[in-house]
Amino acid sequence: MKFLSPVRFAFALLCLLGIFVPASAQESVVNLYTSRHYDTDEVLYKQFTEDTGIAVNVIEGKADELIARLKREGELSPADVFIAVDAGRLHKAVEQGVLQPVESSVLSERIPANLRQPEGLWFGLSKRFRIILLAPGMPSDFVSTYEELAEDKIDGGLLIRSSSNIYNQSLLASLIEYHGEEAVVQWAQGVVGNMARAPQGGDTDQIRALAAGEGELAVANHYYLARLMASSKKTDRKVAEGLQVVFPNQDGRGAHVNISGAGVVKGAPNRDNAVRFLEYLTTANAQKQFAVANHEFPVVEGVELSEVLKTFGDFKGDEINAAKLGEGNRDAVKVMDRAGWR
Amino acid sequence: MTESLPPTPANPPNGSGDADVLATGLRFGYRKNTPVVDGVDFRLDTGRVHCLLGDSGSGKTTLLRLIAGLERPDEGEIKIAGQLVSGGPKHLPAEDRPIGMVFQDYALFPHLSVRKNVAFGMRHRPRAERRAIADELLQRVGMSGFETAMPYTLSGGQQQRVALARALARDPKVMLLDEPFSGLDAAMRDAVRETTLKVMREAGVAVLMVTHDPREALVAADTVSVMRRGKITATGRPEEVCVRRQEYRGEGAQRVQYERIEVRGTDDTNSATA
Amino acid sequence: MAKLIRPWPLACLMICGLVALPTVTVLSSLFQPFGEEWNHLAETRLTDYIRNTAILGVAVCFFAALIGTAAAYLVGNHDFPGRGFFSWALILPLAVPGYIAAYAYTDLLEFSGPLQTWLRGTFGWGRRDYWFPQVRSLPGAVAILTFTLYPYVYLAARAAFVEQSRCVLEVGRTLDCGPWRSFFRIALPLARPSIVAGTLLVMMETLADFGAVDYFAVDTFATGIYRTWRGLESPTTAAQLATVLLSVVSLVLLVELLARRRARYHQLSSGRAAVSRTKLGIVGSAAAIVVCGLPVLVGFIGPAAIFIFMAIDTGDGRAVEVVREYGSNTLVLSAIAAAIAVALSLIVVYSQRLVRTRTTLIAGKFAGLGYALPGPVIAIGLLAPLSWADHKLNGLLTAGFDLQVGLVFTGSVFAVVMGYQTRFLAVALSMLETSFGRIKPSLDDAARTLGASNTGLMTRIHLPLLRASVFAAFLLVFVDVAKELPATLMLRPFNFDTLAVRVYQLASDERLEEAAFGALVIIGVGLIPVLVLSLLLDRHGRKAPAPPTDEVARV
Repeated sequence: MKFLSPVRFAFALLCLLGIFVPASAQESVVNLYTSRHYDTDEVLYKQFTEDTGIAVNVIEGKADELIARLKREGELSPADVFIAVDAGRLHKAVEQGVLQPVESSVLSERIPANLRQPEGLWFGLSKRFRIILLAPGMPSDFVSTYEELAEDKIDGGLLIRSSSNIYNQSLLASLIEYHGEEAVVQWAQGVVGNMARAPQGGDTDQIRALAAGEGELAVANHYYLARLMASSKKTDRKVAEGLQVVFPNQDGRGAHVNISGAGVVKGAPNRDNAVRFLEYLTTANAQKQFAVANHEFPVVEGVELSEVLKTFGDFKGDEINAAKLGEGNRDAVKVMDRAGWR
Repeated sequence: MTESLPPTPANPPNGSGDADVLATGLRFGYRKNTPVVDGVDFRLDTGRVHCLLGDSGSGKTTLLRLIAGLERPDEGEIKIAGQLVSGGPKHLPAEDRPIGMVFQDYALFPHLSVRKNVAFGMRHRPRAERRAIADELLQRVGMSGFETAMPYTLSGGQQQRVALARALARDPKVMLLDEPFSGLDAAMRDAVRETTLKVMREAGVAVLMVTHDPREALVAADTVSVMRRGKITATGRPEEVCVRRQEYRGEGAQRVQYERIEVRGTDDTNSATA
Repeated sequence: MAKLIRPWPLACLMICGLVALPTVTVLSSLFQPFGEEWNHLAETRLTDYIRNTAILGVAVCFFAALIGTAAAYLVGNHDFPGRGFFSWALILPLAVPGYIAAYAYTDLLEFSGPLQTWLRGTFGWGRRDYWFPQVRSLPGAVAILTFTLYPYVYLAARAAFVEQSRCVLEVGRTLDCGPWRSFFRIALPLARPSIVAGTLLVMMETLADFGAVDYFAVDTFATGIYRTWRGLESPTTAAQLATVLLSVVSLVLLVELLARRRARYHQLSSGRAAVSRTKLGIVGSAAAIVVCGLPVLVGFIGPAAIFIFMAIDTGDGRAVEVVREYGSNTLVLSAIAAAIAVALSLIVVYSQRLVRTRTTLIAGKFAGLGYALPGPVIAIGLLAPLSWADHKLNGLLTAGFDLQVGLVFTGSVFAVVMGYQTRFLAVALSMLETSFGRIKPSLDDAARTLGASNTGLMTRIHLPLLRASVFAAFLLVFVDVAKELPATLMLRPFNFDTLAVRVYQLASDERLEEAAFGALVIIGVGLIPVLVLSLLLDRHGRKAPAPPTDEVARV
């Protein structure tokens, strides 16, 4: 009758927990901390395992959380590769000192210089453009720059999401880089005054609201539109129909580009596997899965685009180094707070 | 009745000398500086039925719980059958003391049958033996035929008898009864009390019974102690402690005879209609 | 003090200490300097957090109390067509987590959603031609939380009304009170303690909600703490912010404690007569059906139907895979966490029974505080000490044995399971506390004098008597864990996504349709205990004595 004594009980609990302690890093694995969560990525990981025999373990989460986690775990961290969906977060990881430089001729050959960190701390893997969409029937030259979004002519017709969104933060960081902080505060105030509704929802929500007539123009990342255009659902395709795509600032610096990218974690227990994994992601096949399947633009030249992306035609992207977007992130947040952008 | 000596004990006290329970200088309080038992010396002899009389809040039930080992005294010591069970750093928990206890509400285990209730305390014996002893005890208290009944189907008197059998199953040296008959109606009380005392005298155990009813003490006890505010204020034979007085109240046709029982050592008296 | 240095009370204090660890970490942040981040926060956002949280808390409590009480009074004391159905259907919204309901209604009601599109199409309206309430807003959050949380009040109030019904009717009759008068003058005051207890539960759930307000972009303390933690890179400021919430929670718990103490005087005699109900006329019945039907429709049928429609429309090709992978993760995690929670609460409650000192009681209350803490707060409070422990452990092992075991605490399910204990131990505790309270102490004493040791008493008397409650407590924690989102999100180890996490990620990636099937499974899992418990309560109801109200309320 003594089996329930507290001491034994505690021991039993510990044993139970012991089962779930992660397996040791003996076998050939690569551990990912990623803020991407696309089912196509999983397919890609499986292929990587098949090709190389290296198993892929994944924790998905918001980039900030993952960085905090990396920092907290320090040298004990099992993480090998950190993947984020924007330059701001990659830069933050650099700032926090959780990444290590990688020298790989494969990577520096395939990825353009402005899309990777100069010291090899991170590498861009896909490109994302922040575009302006116009409602059907609007004159196609109604706006052609981000700067115009603050102008009075828009008057309550602008659909854009909240300031807590990293894509908006990166956009503002680039604007601050070009125009300076005070000018951008004024710009942000203008934008807030032009909003059709209090910012809410994601980019898709802005596009849907635009199609439904809640506003005259919307700001969104290009792949959200592409996703709707390629949807198997007729209602989704109908939403995208008739909307006019504006890649802004074509006469100047080009459309705002953000990247999804990855770096090798400092103290990665499986560093070689990590580099191999990054190199794998720049192969044409992987680029197709990783970037194109989610309607992002590949960073590697010559990879075939998806049908939808081809319809966007040729355009110019901002060649500012993506690292700058990260550096300006904190200022961007404060500017939006000051302008009362929710 | 009070003078009649108990039959020869089945279990003669071994090495206990002269007393089955010996308590000296007991003090206990649930909170600091508010003693419930406040310096009690007390002895209980083998084969005797001893009544502890007092009002509610006088500390008599607490004294019983101290002897049972359900509470630990702040000061003083208790010996049972010559063995020190409480005192100084030593405190033998209730489960290791040679006692049996019957509670005011009988405290039958609702999830166990009558037989399993009685057999509860006999874990050290083999199964068949447990069963045989339990059935025998049930027969002794007049509860044969109820072995498989569940407690909630029994009347109060029946439950009391099962509780008695259960307490006896461990061959206790001392039986502690906490107001064992107070939950029964008057007519039943006498019959159940008689059975109980008979069974216990047969078993030859020392009995300590807590009650607030002097009448019960008069009928049942060999010796009586009176408790008041945590102290024992009088001890003696029942007729020395409790004095019956006949009194009359009212006028003419309304005139009624009362029996008043005065208890020494208390300011209060109890009265009852005759 | 000496009383505490024995295995059981010691185990109790240790468990409470461990479970209260996040709370302690959060509190300790008060002793750190209030930095620049705090000033920025105080200047820009803090007033919003306070205002929104206050409005949300008060409004949800008010409406939930209103709906819960009205429905309970109708179902408990009146007869109308459908009464039997509503009596259990009104509990169903408990199966729908707030964030799931939020996803569903946003999809239905937003500007581009089917309802408004249909309106525009039918009447030819444009954007500025009509007014339609904004779903993603503070009032929207109030509505969502009200309709998913009112069952707490309903359950508590129903038990109270049923218990008093005969007495109320008789008094009403003798005094010739009309139905409204007897409700406001007699029934309501008598049931007030139960209603208050239920409403306080609603309040704690509201303060702890993260998923719904996050999706609606309503800045409350819960989202604010999370934002501060990850956005401004300042765990200290986040923890300092959390102490504000924690003190509010403590205040609420104190009020609950006082209310419960008062409730004791309100308790009626145990004798329960058969319930006699007033029959309603046609108009009355129609009104009753509307009052009872609306909460069920909005709180349960609506979200379930929307996701069923979505699942059929999209046809989740990965349905089987989703259930197999995420479902089994959810199942394993919930079962482990629930089993541990039940075991720990048994130890705590039993120790409190063995050693009735203020220390153990306060320790229990302190451990229960976590119930009202939002998941992110628990995660923040847990990660700091656990990762310290990880580093210390590895440091020691490296120095002593040249061994590295890695992240034993933060890298395994340990962290997330422990987070669940902080969040949900109170659920199991309160369930077992009330059931333990109903076991007469004399049974313990009797078992003692019959030779049962501490453990024997537990295994031979208490556990058999508590079987139903232990089962119920297990189920409650199980489902709470299955629905839990933010703590899981922040604490889970490698390759360990639950259904809730998957649904959340798809929803935040704006691919809600693909999450429909997962959302339905979550609702389905949530239904199991709701149904089992409502059966259990009905059975209790037929047998005397009635379950105490706060046990019901914790359902």
